[in-house]
Amino acid sequence: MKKFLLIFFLIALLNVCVVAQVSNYVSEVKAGTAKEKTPITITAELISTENISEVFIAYKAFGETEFLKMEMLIVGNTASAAIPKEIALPPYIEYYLIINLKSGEQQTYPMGIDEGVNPLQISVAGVSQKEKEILVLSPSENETLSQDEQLISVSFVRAPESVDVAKTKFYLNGINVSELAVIAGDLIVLAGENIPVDFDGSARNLLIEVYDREGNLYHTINRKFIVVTAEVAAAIESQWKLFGNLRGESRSENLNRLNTWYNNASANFNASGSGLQVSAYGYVTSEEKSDKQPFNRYSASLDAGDWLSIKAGDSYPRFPNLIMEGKRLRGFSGALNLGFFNFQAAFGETARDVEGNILRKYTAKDVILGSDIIKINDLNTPYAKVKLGTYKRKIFVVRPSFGSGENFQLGFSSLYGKDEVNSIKYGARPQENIVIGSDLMLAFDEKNIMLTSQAAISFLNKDISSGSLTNAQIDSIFGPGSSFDVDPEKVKEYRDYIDKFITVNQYLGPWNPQELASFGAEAALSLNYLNNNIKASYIYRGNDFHSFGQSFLRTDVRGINIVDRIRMLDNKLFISLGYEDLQDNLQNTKIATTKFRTVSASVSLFPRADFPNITVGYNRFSNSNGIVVTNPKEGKYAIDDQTNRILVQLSYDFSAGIKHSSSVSFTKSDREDNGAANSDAQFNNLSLNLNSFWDKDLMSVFGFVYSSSEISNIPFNYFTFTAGGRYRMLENKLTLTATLSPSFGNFNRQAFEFVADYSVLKNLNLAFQTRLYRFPGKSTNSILGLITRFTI
Amino acid sequence: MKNHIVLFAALISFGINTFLQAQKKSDINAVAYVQKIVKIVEQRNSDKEVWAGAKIATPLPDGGQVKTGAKSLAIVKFLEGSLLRVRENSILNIYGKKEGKKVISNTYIDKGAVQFEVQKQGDDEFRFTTPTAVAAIRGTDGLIFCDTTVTRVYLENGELYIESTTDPTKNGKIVGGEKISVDQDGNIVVAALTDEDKIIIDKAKLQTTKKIIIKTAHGDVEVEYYTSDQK
Repeated sequence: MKKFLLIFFLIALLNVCVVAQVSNYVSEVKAGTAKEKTPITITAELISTENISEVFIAYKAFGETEFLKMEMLIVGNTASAAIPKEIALPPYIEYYLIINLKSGEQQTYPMGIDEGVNPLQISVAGVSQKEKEILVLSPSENETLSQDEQLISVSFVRAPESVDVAKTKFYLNGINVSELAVIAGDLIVLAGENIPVDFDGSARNLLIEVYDREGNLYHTINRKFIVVTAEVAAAIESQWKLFGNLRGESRSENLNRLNTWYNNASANFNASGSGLQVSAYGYVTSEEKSDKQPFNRYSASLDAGDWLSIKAGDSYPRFPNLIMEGKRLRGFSGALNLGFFNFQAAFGETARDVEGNILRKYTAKDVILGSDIIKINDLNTPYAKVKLGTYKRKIFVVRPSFGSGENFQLGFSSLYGKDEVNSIKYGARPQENIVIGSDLMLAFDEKNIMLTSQAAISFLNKDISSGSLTNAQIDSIFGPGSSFDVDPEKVKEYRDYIDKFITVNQYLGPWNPQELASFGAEAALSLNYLNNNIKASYIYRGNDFHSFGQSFLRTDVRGINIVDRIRMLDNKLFISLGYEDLQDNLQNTKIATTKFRTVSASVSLFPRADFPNITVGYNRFSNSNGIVVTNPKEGKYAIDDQTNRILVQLSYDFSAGIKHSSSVSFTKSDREDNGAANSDAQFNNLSLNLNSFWDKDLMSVFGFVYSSSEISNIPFNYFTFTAGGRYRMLENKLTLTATLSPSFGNFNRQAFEFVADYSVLKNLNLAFQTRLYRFPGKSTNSILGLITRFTI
Repeated sequence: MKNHIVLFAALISFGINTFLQAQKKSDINAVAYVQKIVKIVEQRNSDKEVWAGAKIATPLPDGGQVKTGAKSLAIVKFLEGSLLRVRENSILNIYGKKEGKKVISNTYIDKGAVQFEVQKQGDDEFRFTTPTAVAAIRGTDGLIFCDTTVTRVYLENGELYIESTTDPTKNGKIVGGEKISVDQDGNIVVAALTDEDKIIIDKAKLQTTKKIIIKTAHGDVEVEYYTSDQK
């Protein structure tokens, strides 16, 4: 093992690799535990938040066609989001952040995703089959039990013959309590009165070790639960469970000699009981300004089991992704699931009205053309160049569906959205949108065969400011001898009918519905047999498909995607293969059709033993539109590039005197661009992290990043060291955390962070946070903050 | 002699070690166990005549019985994870066996009410048998109550197939949100759950207790009991 450790660190230290992860707005991104079918929490520490309007996370599973996007919740200088459990699939997921700035610009983290920089990856470990074989019937995770009702019960009814039930060992807070166990066939129970109660505190960590007949460790299970007195347990059980916290923060940021104070407060409240769950959340910040989109957030929700859910305030309703996904809505949303019939609806505002302002006025004689030139109510200067405002946009979405979703569900969705024309004075091109769609899910054999499909068609009016066509306008445009030889009366008849749904004028599209320009559809068949999970899907999205419920949907694309995830050795080994073949120019709106081909392969090993988790991945992206770059006429449109990307990730928890948790990540990508852009690029990145747990109070952190990139022959190289630690003192009342991270090379910065978190009372904490960023020869920026947390 | 002493010491050591490490092995081959009891809950195995007071963690073998008294409650959990809340004044008979990877569980209810949360797993079977009906369920939760003349099932989720014990040709199937009743003549009636029915199901899930304290000249007497009335 020592030899292996040596090799492990040599690999870490000798590789010379790269990828630029410099950002003006994100100092650090952390990912929570990544386990199959479990939501993965991503948090980003933000800097210069006064310039940030919103942060989105883009994420996708291995081999998927496109990144899904979701807005992150910003609280203070932390943005967070949970990647849904459906996406959390082995071998890894990829993600990056999209930071929208108040100036209207956009930046990604890591920077330069659009230029081909690699997104971040998290290895996702698979669920062991053994977790289905050995069932801990009691306690459930985080269950609260009274002292006299303590019960540990484990069922081996599904365990294989090779398991020796009698050899099972139980450890409670590290103490072997196996002798208390009673074996009754396939059941082991540890009864209440025998289980020791003389532990410090009420938290219990249960470790169960299961052995095979040869005495080898077969499986381990960890479970946490809480033991309280009978009176407390009765009170918890009989009453509504209440939980809440209040948080207040005052923070000063000094960036480039500009000092800004931020104040914010948030409150979170949850109550559950009698099958109901009520939640409320509020966040108010000094960043809230009427001339920006909202920064404050508030919401309240009521859930009654799986059958009823009602939300008010800010929420992110999820409908079929062609209709609505990842979009914040301020209003109401809810779902009623009755099994055979279900109904889901959302109504509210996705953008609030923000008034524009006049930059310069023009007379009718001097006015110039421009998208930001509008007519204003001024006799002498009736035109003006303006900073365009944002119309208030409201949407209404409904989806009735039939079938519980267990084996069958057929849904019909409809979205109607409209900008309120009179919500602002200085704006241009308010829009209106209708999307109608249907989705179907069929599953057989315990969902081992699953067919999912959806289709939708959209209608978009790109400027409703002038309303529907008048009779006079129709008479002047249509009829014999006019621009269109169509009976004007027929046109009026159609207008009156369609006008009930959407404004009818020259800006209403699509104009070429027969070419399926505003049609979107996808279908996928997945088969889960013989340890193979194969999913084959087809996607079609016309170039004119628009939904107000989606901000980021890729359009003008069609093609196939095939992914096979092969599980071996009880989900310890994953081999994943993917192939994608897409093309654009579906409605011949481009000079040539570009084909996008991606080949992906990955091998992941999660040994669940004294050996590192290893993921090795390879991707090849090929894009070509068939135009030869030397073509004198069309060569400037030539697309012909190939990118090869290799990913190696190792993580390993080991003991060498003390416990350590380490990870090494290496990514290399190389793009050869033979097209007109000639944008060859190379990215290499190596990062190493080592967390050492010296004792229960002291933990140290060591990190190293080497990054190098070269885009169009312009190199950018740097390396960063990180050293720091966390120390608990005063009987765990005070926690001190400090980190120093100097960067050298083309990115020259020294970063220092210090946090002191003091528990004044059991439910009241004060935290002082300071961050210093020194750019040698330029400036020193600082962030100082005081945070108060109160839990009820 | 030295060898004998070493051997003797080794045996003693092995014996002590074995004693310390040994887990108690019950004669019972459990198919379920008692997870929670409130007030009067008794149990007996198929080979016993006499009812004995049940305790938390009591293993229940094939043929085991659980009986609840007035204002009492028992929660029984099966080895594949299914859970039954046996309401007051009920008698539950438990049967179970394994056929390869398939776990077959059956219960017989003489009278009373049982709220159920049955796990769905592979080819497992879970059946309720009453004097008037046999119900087969998978991945389902709801409430079953019966006496010698009629069986009623309120189903919250999943599917349930039921047939008359007196006339197996009479059968029916319901899905979540529906209820069914089967009487002793095999008459089957299906209807949608009303709001009142849903309240009854919710109350059947409650497992909290109330206490009354009777003050006497000799001190306070505390009586704990189960009630579905939580006001």
